[in-house]
Amino acid sequence: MAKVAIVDDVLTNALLIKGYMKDLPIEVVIFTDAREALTWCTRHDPDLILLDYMMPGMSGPQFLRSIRTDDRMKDIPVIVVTWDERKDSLYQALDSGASDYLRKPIDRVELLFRVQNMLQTRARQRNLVELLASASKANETAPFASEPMTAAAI
Amino acid sequence: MLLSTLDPCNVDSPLPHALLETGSAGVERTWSGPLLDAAMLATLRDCLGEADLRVLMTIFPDQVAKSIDDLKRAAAANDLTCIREAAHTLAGMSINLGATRLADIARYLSNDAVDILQVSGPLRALDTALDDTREMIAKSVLFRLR
Repeated sequence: MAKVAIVDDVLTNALLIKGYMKDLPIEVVIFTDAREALTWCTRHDPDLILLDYMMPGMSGPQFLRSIRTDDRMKDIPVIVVTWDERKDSLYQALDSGASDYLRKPIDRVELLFRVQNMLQTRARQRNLVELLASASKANETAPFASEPMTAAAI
Repeated sequence: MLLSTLDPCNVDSPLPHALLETGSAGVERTWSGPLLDAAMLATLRDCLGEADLRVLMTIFPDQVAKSIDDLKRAAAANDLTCIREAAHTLAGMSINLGATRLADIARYLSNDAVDILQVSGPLRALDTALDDTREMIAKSVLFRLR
């Protein structure tokens, strides 16, 4: 089951998003503290993070930079959530490494489409990584094979 | 009259509270948006169900009150950056649940207040809007006749 982390210092925001996603076959974990969320993400490798963009202690851009510069987490999709209509905020979020962007008030249908799209992409990405690992292992165990095995060959 | 005693060059000197009150009176504005957006409330009820909506609406006023406290602390410290950040948080939570009047005031503080003198009026309006929104939540959600 896919793991989704919601990071928002306001509990009602997080509960609302969780409530909107209740019919999806996913495991949802809520964090109201960004640093705690970061620690958890390094250990649990979630499939998606929904991130409030402005939080006390650690801002959205800081959180994103921490994710994107850590090899263990750099590929996790992150959807930034904010009410800010200004284009500057959108550009800053995307520049900081956000995979997608969602505006408040959150539209449930839009949220579900975006989450499902991200989870599908993440699943394909994980499959690809596994295939590459298998190919690499196959190459190691068959060092004298005439053609090196690649993910494409598989 | 009090304003004339303020040295505009001395940005470090904190404004006396009375001066804040006097200064804000000139830019006082009214906020008349709906306390709870009926269409949003219907959508939330439809998507979440009555039980989850009640949980959210029970927590919400206390979170707003905490946010207003953060705003008041920032105003007392004349910290416009902190005011904007706290107002941003308050606007986000209010918009999500259709608390339009709270959202409008918070949005003003987050985006449009350019001077500390413009803060105390909206802060008072937030207190009133919270009381009224709490009452509306009680009527429309918590003690709603089914």
